[in-house]
Amino acid sequence: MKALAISLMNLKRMLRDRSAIFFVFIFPVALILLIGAQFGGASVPQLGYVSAGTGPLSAGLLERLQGDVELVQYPTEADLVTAVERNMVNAGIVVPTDYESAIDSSDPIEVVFIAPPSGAPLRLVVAAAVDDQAAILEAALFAAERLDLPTEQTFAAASSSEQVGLTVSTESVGESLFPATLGRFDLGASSQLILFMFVNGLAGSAALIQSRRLRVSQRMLGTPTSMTSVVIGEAGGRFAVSIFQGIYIVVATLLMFQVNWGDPLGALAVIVLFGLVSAGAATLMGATFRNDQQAGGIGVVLGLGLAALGGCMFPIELFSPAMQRLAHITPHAWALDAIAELVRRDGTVVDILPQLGVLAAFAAVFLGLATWRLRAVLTKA
Amino acid sequence: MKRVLTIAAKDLRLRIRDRSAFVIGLVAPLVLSFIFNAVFGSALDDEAFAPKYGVVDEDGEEVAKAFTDIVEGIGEPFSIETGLTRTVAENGVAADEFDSVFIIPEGTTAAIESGKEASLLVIGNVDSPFSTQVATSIAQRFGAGVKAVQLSLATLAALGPGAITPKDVVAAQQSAGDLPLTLREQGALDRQLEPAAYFVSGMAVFFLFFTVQFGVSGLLEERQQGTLPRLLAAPLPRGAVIAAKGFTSLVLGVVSLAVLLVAAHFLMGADYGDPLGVAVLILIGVLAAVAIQGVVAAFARNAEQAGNIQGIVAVVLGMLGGSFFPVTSGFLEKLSLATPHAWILRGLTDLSAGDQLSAVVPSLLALTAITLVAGTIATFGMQRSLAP
Repeated sequence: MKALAISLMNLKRMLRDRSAIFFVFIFPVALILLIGAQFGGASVPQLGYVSAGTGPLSAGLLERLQGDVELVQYPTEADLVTAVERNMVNAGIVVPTDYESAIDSSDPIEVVFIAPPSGAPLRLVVAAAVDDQAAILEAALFAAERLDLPTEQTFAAASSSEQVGLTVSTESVGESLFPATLGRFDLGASSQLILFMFVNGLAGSAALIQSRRLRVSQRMLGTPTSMTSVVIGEAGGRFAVSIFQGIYIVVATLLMFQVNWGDPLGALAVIVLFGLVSAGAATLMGATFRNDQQAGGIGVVLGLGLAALGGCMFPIELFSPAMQRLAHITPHAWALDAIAELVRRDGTVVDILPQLGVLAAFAAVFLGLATWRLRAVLTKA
Repeated sequence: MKRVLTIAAKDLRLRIRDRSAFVIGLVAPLVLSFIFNAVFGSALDDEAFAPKYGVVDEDGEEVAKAFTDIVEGIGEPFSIETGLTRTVAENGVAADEFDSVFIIPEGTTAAIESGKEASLLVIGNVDSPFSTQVATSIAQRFGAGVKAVQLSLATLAALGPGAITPKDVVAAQQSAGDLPLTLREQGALDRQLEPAAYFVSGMAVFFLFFTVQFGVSGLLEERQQGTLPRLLAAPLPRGAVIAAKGFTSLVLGVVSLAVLLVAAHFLMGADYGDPLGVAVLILIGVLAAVAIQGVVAAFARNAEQAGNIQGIVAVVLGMLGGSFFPVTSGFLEKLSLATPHAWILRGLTDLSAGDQLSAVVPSLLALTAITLVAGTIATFGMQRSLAP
């Protein structure tokens, strides 16, 4: 009972801290929004274009490309080149002013394709669209020459012809790592959930260091409160902070971005166990460091470093095989695996038992070490 | 000036003894960028585009052979396997052995020769959408050639007096060889830092905004510790005290950035280009960071509040400014240019692309503007807070 009071006091302390309001409530959601805007959704290559022409030919070319790429217009060629170089678009094309007059020109008209080496493959996509238009022009020129007719007439006939030549149909096979049903914010939400539960949990270690330095924890032992209650209370306080963060992110993203969290029971189990892991790590840090500023700095490094390694910043599925194995030394990777199973493969709590088991083991080890250290430092004079 | 240096030297000595500046200014960014590079560097390199395609020829006739020749001839970075059966190809795509396969169905040549509709099939792995799109484009280009001939003959038939003769067919095929539209390729520089160089500079600039806190928040700490009145009682202008705090931040920031970039150069092979340009950029970039965090320190009630707000400012500007990942999508890209982070990283990127100092003038101007505006506000605010 006293342990619970100590835990709740710790949660209250976090909520009274004004900057916590930002880092716990605003920042995670803003970041999920930013990541969703930057990386979420289907990744269609972006093609910048500058088009001086206003006629049907250039419109037709852009319309044809629209299906394959996302088009971004730039006012001048210089702007386009800068955008391509800065990787704001994958490549660019310049549709020349005389593109419309291609039908009357004796020389071929050039569309300029601008790309750094990384954008070069897009050339084939653009070339297919250009060739498609060229086929119509070619037919018009051919008929005009053979029949001695004006090109306007033959172009109109060629444009309205139903001939399609050799069409291409496309099918996809295989099981996708990231199914199409995955929402724009789903991937970012699950990885930021794990990142923030751990980072903001670790930030709680500073509070424990302050309690120790101000000898609040030691004075509690002077009251009729057992060591066990104090230790459980302090660890419970970190747990309360971490789990509060977790539940907040799940509920907020569910309401704001309709993020899919899969089986509620499974999601809750992951949050509770990962909350215990974070609590263990935070209590261990709080019991080990003497300077809360240093602990804060190291907490950020540890929190972000483990998050990166564990796949919270870049999908673990895209790591090299060796890095994937290395990633699983972090609890983060196991928690993300569990969420992926729940969300992307519609798993239930039964399907994620192995991951939950590993998380429970992490929690047991961290909490064990933390209570041992905390008992030791609190009883030291 | 001498008195400014004396106060700054005292502050710096304090910061060296208390190791937190060392942790935040050097250890944190270095360790994190090292981890990021190890974790993402390999994944980013693997993104190099090298699709594996297969060709299934169920037709076996002229058109199929022509198409197979074209696919085989596309060269690097594609790898092509021909002579597959449909089952092998489909299983291969599902098992990630191929990104995409082309299937030329039986009767394709016959259909085309008789002017009927024919279709090629591209089967792509669901996780290789771009490879599949490129494969589709290769097939479509071939299809456009076929279309040019068919369309020529159809237009001829529609407008001309008589039926199509074999001579017309040959002429149409010949004339389809040179299309009236061409695509000219023009290379462009890749203005992106290498992964290692990006991670180190991103983290260095991110933590810079925490490192410079130590100086500019000094006035608040002196006030809290009760040493501020003594400092003010000393025979020196108030401006000198403020300058000293700003100078402490400047030194910490410049040392942090310089050491990190040099370490990145020697430990991780990062290349940032013209050293003079990098030095100027660092100096002005740090000044901008000092000025911004100075504004917070000038108007905060106490050191704790300043620290909290400065942390928020550092994190928000860092995320938006592209310290963790490049922010390139439309509206956010414009917003990110309001942060010094974006300008420092852009300047470093331009320099690493081989540009001279003159090319980073826009970055320097933007940073100078930020410094002047924020610096004026900060100085004004601090003067006011020191007024008797």
